[in-house]
Amino acid sequence: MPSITVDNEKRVKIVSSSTMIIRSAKADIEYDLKDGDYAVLIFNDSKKDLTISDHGQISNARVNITYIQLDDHDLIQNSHIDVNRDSSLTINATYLGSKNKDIIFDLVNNEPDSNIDITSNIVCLDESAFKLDCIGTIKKGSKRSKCHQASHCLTMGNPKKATVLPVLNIDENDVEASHSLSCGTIDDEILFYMNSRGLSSMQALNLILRSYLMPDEHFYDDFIDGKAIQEMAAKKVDSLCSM
Amino acid sequence: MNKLVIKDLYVSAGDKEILKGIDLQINEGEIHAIMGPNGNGKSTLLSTIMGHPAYTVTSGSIEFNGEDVLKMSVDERSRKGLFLAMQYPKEIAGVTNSDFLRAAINARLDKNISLFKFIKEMEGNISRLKMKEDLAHRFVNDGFSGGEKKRNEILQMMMLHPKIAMLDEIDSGLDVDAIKLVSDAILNLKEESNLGLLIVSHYERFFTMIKPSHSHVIVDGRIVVEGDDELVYKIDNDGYDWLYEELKIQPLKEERPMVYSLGTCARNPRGKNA
Repeated sequence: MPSITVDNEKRVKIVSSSTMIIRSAKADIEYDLKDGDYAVLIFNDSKKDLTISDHGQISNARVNITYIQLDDHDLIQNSHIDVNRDSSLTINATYLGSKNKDIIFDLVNNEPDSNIDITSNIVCLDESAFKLDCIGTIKKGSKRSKCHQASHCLTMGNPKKATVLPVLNIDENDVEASHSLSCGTIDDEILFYMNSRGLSSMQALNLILRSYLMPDEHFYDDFIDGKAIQEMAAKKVDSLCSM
Repeated sequence: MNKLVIKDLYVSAGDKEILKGIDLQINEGEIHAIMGPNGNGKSTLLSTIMGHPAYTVTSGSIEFNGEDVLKMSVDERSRKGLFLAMQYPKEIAGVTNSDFLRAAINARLDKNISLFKFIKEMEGNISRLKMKEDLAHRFVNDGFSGGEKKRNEILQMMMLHPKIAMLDEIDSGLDVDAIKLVSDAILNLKEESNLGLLIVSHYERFFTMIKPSHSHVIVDGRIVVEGDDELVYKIDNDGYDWLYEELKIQPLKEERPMVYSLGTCARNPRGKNA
């Protein structure tokens, strides 16, 4: 699987499975994924304020896209993806909400038998402002399509604002659509439960943060630099727990 | 010898006094049954021993092997050997059972448990409890049925090897076969490790299998009568009314939160309130 480092502002076209390491201040990504199974990992390693624009279409393909954003800088992300006939798109998005983050996912079931499933895990830190608009649109004619959204936002400290807005625009019958959302601090009862098994509050927090910020260890096996990204995420979790 | 000693314990939740002078001693190898009508302090007693922050001990003491439990944090109590199997176990989405249990085991060891030993022990216990093989990789209690949650509590108890275990209505939500399975697992653990048990249940069927060595009835925050397993059978046959008459006491009525209808959410399509 190729690893692409984005270090300038030219548009990058993705036509196969890829690991994308973003190091520029702007990234313009176009998807054109057809006829097959694909996995794409987009990792923000820019270490500066970043604007990502990714867009494109998926046709007769099954695609997993993973976004990992653990950087301490501002982020604007605008993602628009059309999913065509007999295709499925699964998105796992992980955000460490520090500074200002403004994310829009605009995902369209464009034709019949198209499936979209998006899960966003967000940890919002002290003094951060985070906004996620997750918009799912099932267009007229897209019969038997599915669009499911799940967003989990964990707030730590005192964020300025954490906003998660799930939207479903449904213009067809005979479809499946759902959204779920949780937003808030760690439930005291969950903390008590974990404490009652011998875990200190810090150990409990570490486990919970890992569940938000780190996909399971086998997830990265397919990607170049996957291990390094996983180690970076683990370090980030450990540093958050020692704050 | 492991022993948990509770003396003249008074406990409040907010401004409401729930426990009003509990005296109880549980030694290793003993099985204590706690019974009583709903809302009279059984679960509060167990949660207080474990250190639930909703409850305030206003006077009295709890000692475990001579150490003051009330000075310990919740996790410290667990690491000392106390265990609470909860009536409503919490769901922890995103954290797998294996990660959770391994972290909990490592928290009480000087050197981390080897992966091989952990997997072997976990798989053995999953098999003993006839739970699904993929349990280790599922998130803690997430999407579990009521019965699965209760079995998972027992699995955790088996993995953590406590010295005194408190089981809060662990049999509710279990079918007859599962109750047998769970009670066998509890008794095996007791035989292996001389575990002391404090068990809250409403059902004689469970106590028939467990055979408690001591039994206590809590009414209005006090232990009003004590005995052996015969007391369990008497209450199952005769209920609590004879006790109220004999002792001239009244149980507290369980308070349930009021349910309000949200008008706008409960409207029918014609706009009238449902």
